Amino acid sequence: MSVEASTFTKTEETFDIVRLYGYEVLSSESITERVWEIEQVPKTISYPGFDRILDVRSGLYIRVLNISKDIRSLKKTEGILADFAKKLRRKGISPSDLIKRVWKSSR
Amino acid sequence: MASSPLMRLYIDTNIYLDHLLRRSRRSSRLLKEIGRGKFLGITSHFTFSELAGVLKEAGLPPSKINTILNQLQAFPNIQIVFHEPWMFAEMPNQILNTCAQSRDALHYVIALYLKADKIVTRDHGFKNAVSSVIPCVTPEELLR
Repeated sequence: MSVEASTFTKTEETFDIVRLYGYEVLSSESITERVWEIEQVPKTISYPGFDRILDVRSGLYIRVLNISKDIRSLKKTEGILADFAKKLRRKGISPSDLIKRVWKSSR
Repeated sequence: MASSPLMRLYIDTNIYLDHLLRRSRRSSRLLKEIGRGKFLGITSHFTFSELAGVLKEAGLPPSKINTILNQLQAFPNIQIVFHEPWMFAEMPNQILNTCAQSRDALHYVIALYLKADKIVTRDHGFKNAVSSVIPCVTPEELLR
């Protein structure tokens, strides 16, 4: 099912913000008008790899990765690069710097 | 009586990296607290592109990198958000409105438009660039 909108427009002038349970959200009217020019958009549409959902807090339709969550993944990955961390420490490279360096030096 | 909404946190790449490097237990603890539902986590899919670069730099084979990235993406209660085309369209203005570099702006726009309460990061440059709009905290400051 393809729901890609060709006429999606988003301008600050057309924002219609309402407060709902303490959150600022777009009114349902403005969501319908703004996000899609198709009828009856469901709140969640699944595609291979991602879902399109209505984010209640922002009032925006967004695409999120569709992946099974697993609490064990936290334990499996903790410290998995500990040896690499030692190398970085020896070279005096902080992790934040490493990310920037990787950007500039990726092969 | 309605319960107070959970704090929505944008998780920057360096927090995942802390966890992988075992550099800071607080980063791992924060990710676990999110998994337990104490906070709501969001991050950009772009975060995993940055991490892929780091894992490649660490000399890991592609199959291992894929395994680790899949495991990181499986962390509970962290929504991994793709950029919408209009977010890219508005990025130049967001870069002009803050001091964010284009790379940081990719994180920033997701945090901004998804109304994150805080950005969790250790990147001082990023913090200085955007903290006037969205507060930036370290895991230590958050879990104090």
